[in-house]
Amino acid sequence: MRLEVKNGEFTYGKEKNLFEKICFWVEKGEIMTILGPNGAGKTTLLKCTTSLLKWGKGTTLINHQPLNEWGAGEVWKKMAYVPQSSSNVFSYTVLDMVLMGRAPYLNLFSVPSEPDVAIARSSLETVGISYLEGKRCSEISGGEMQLVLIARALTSEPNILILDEPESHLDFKNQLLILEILKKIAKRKGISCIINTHFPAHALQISDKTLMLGKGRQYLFGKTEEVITENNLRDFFSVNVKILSFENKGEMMKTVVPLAG
Amino acid sequence: MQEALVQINKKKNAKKTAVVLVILPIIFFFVSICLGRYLVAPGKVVNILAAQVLPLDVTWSSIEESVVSQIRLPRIIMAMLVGAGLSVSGAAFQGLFGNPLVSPHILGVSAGAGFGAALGILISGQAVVIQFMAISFGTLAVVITYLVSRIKTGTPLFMLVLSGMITQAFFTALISLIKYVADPEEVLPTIVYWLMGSISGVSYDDLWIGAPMILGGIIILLLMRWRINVLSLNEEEARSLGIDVQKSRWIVIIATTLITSAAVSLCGIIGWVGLVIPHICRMLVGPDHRALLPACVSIGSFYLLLIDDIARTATAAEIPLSILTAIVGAPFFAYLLRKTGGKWS
Repeated sequence: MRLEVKNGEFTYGKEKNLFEKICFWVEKGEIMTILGPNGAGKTTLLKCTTSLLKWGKGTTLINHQPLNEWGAGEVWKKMAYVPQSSSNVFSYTVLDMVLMGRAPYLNLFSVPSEPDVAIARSSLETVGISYLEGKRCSEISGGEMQLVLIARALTSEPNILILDEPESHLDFKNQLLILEILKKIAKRKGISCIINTHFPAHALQISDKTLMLGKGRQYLFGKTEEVITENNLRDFFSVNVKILSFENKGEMMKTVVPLAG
Repeated sequence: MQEALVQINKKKNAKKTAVVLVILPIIFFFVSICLGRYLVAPGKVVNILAAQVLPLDVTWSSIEESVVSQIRLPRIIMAMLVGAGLSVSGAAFQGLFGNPLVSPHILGVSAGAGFGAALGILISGQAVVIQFMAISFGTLAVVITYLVSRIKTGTPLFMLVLSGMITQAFFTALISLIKYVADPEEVLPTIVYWLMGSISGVSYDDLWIGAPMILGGIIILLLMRWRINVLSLNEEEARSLGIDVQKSRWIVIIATTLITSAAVSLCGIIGWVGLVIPHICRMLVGPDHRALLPACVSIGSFYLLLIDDIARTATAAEIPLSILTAIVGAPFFAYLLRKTGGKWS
């Protein structure tokens, strides 16, 4: 499904606009990353895009139709949001947590049925954590919890997946794991993904498009390799960087190294 | 292989627990009818109860009949309903607020209802007036809490909790004011005794007002048992799962208000049950509200019935319920807490 933001603007209280006439779009199965320094408003941008926060001006459109015309109930069947983390005093089992992804389909007084449980189980399988099913959410690691949240989002069978820094708090191996799973979801299931990240290298690794957000309301949007350049990174992050290319098993890869001074 | 075995064992245990939870209150219901200063044999109790619907030969005395069906039965039904209602409300609120320290009293409904009842005792003393005033002021308290907590973008939970504290403080002060002006010979003891909670003297007439409210509230909450799982996530997460958080939240609040204000209007302020029974049930069936709320109906009704049995049989004078719920419950809960290290939630 195609998701598009047209002329988005947002203001906290009486401060200056955080964004001005921001526009971007993703097509079916595409991955888009959002990069930007702390405080540029990446999370706010995601929340506005999903309607968790209201745009000051502008709209989000799914398949050329504004979100408010779809209605809240329908929107969350098309689009799923993966928060940075989830804290809860009640340690539900992993399966119960993932099952909550069925909420958009169930009314106030219903309880999930067998088919719902089957869908939850298949999401667990997609992200490769079926073995965690019976564990409590308080007993698993941060990387596993992130996978649980992705599985929960997949359980609502969305066409668009929106993730807020899914790999931020994780170690090397888990970062790679998350990136590979997102790639697989996008390519095999045709789910469009929008991902906030702090790592330009990750953006280069998985995304088709990139939106780079600056502090002074300026932004860049385009193909990832055109947006993520040494010059742009220096302008937006105020730091000198070197982008290095190397070959690994016949595949060209890039990495980004920040330089002091 | 071993994982699978563990799973099967877990399922078996869950079934056993479910069976016990269904049978326990039923057995205790019969035991309680037999118990009392005037013992009635279990066989006779069954016959008397059956005679309400079946044409049986009368083999019991009229005293036994009136003790069982006019005095004990309404009282037992009331105890079970109030116990179940307060426990389910407590569990639903703990889920709603994502906080296991919350009780059904948090939005000020009990203080409001308590004030209404005290005012009713002061100005009239008639049961109908007391109940009407208690329910009205209990509802009024929640409405005040709502109005104070509302801001432009809805009602955040912390605003709700703080507004509840304000309302509670206000009505508690009003209760003290009424106690201060009440006649210390006649009215004051009635108010004090009443506020400590008692189910003595409940008749069928009382049941007709309170029971449907409590029952209705319990049914609404039971139907919402899975939705409460989703509501226990933080607000943004819950919204991103496509549910109308504000609407669902207010339905839960309305249901608990029905239950709590009706409970206070009938038998005073009963503490402890709504806070602790949900924890005990979490130890038994886990935090999933789909299992937790039904378990609360069972254990809550059982527990308040047990407490009321002690209240009416232990000594010649009736002991107020609020005293007993904690005196019996606190050591037991302390024992569980020490044994499990609080790992159940």
